[in-house]
Amino acid sequence: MIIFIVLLVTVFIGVKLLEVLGFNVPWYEKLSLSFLLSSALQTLGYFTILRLGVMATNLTYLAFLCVLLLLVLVIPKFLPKLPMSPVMLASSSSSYLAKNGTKLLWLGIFVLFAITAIYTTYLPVYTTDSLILYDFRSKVITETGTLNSIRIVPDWAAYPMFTSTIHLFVRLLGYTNPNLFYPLMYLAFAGVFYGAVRIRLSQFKASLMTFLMYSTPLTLWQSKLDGMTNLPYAIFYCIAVIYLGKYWKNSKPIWQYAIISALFLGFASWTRHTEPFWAIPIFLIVVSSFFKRNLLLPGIYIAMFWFIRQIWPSYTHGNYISVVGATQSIVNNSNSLFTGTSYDLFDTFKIAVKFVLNSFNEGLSPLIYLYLSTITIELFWNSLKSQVFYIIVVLGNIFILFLSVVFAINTFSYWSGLSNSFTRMLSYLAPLLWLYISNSRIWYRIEEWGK
Amino acid sequence: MVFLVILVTSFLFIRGGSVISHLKPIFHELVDMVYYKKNYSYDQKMLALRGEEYRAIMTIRERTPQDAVIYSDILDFQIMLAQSLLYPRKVYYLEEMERQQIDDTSYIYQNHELSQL
Repeated sequence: MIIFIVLLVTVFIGVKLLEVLGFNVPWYEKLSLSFLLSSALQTLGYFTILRLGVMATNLTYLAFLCVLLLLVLVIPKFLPKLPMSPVMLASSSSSYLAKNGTKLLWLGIFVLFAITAIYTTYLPVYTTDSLILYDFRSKVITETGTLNSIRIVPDWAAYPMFTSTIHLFVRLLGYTNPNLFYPLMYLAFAGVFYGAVRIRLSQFKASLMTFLMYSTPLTLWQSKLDGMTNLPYAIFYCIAVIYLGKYWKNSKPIWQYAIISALFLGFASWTRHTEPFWAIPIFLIVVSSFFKRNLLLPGIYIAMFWFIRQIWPSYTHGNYISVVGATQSIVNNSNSLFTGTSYDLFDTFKIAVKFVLNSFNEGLSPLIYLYLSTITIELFWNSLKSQVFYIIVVLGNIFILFLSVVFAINTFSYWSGLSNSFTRMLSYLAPLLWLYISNSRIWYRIEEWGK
Repeated sequence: MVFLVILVTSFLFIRGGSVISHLKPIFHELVDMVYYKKNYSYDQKMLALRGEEYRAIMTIRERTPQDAVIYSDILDFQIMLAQSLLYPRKVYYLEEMERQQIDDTSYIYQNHELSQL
């Protein structure tokens, strides 16, 4: 029972925070975003107070939640009411087919959610990565009450604490199985995705794209897992891209979009610190400062993101243990890209291309072919211009993925054994490819043909 | 509209191949979870999921106190699993034994046999 109350309070805190920011979006997007925003902020906040020496107990967690609740209720009374961001929605058809089709598609999404929910409520934490790291850290903190006790966990500093802190909350509330959080997170993401595509598409088409995105096996399968960080990373990163896209496409610099994007890009780093994909949104926000003639907002964006990103390394360095991943990250070791010892550069590139293509085929087929077809048709119709933002995002990410593989080949003797991890990592690309397809002008052409 | 239906149908048809091949085992698993195996304990579920390596964990857990120190010859990957699943017991590699203090809470797990040191 208490877990449902905590869940409701979590959503409520998120809704109030969005209201404070003057963030005006349809109800489904607001609810979904609130759950994700509030969960991530709670993990950061509770981690910070544990770091200050507070003991991890159910009382301190509930007190922390009450303080947050009080803050979001009291602070807005002292703040000036901020201007609301605009709500944009495409018109919808009221035909019988469209109305019932929309219901059917959402029923499909809820059925898939129910299946993953059954899996996660029945199965305990069992995957190796979660047992030996993510869930183990939460178990140790629950037993000892102190954050520093996680140092007994092998490779404790390898990944930040997002999933471990979520598991910690569930354990502190008296439960041992935190797995249901992941299908809930994925369902919430479906709400945000629907909100993003609904701007340009009718209810039926937006529901169809949301269903196709939600049912992508690579991400759906991960939502029934138990604390792996790939799916939360994918969700946070994609939300950061979605709101940065909204910021980019509006002629006025709507600051709410930039703030939400910066927060979620920070949360992505709070989930997987070593991934270098944050470079693309940062590049795009810097570029936007030129054509929007606004330097302040990109500055705040980078500062907010960097502040959240530094929370984990500042803790691990404080304990005199280097972040395993950070010292191996592509940014810190860019020279190893071109100084391979096992292969010459041309061979390395050839092997990397083959590896990436195989992984794409394995993890993102047939979606990747649909994406390539969309790009080809757009090229033929000369309508790529409207997709500049998502072209940079997708191609930029593919380029970084490729460099990561080249780096892995040159750095790890066991690189070929990383193919499963690499395929799992690709999960963050799936929603981005669906976003690209959803934003395509092809939909307008189809409508024109239908008339 | 016809074009849209053709596009989506062909996409679902291509994806369908992989989905349908997974549907049968998923259906069986769901029936097991909500009906046949709904009363399984944590240990029974873990045994089904992780097999023999979990049986070893159960043996050690049942026969050692919570403050036990276990020296084991199990491999790299499994020792990390053992550290997690046997917590708060401490699990070390066999070679560590020389560097640690041995007392009546020390155990050795070698060749699938558990004995007190």
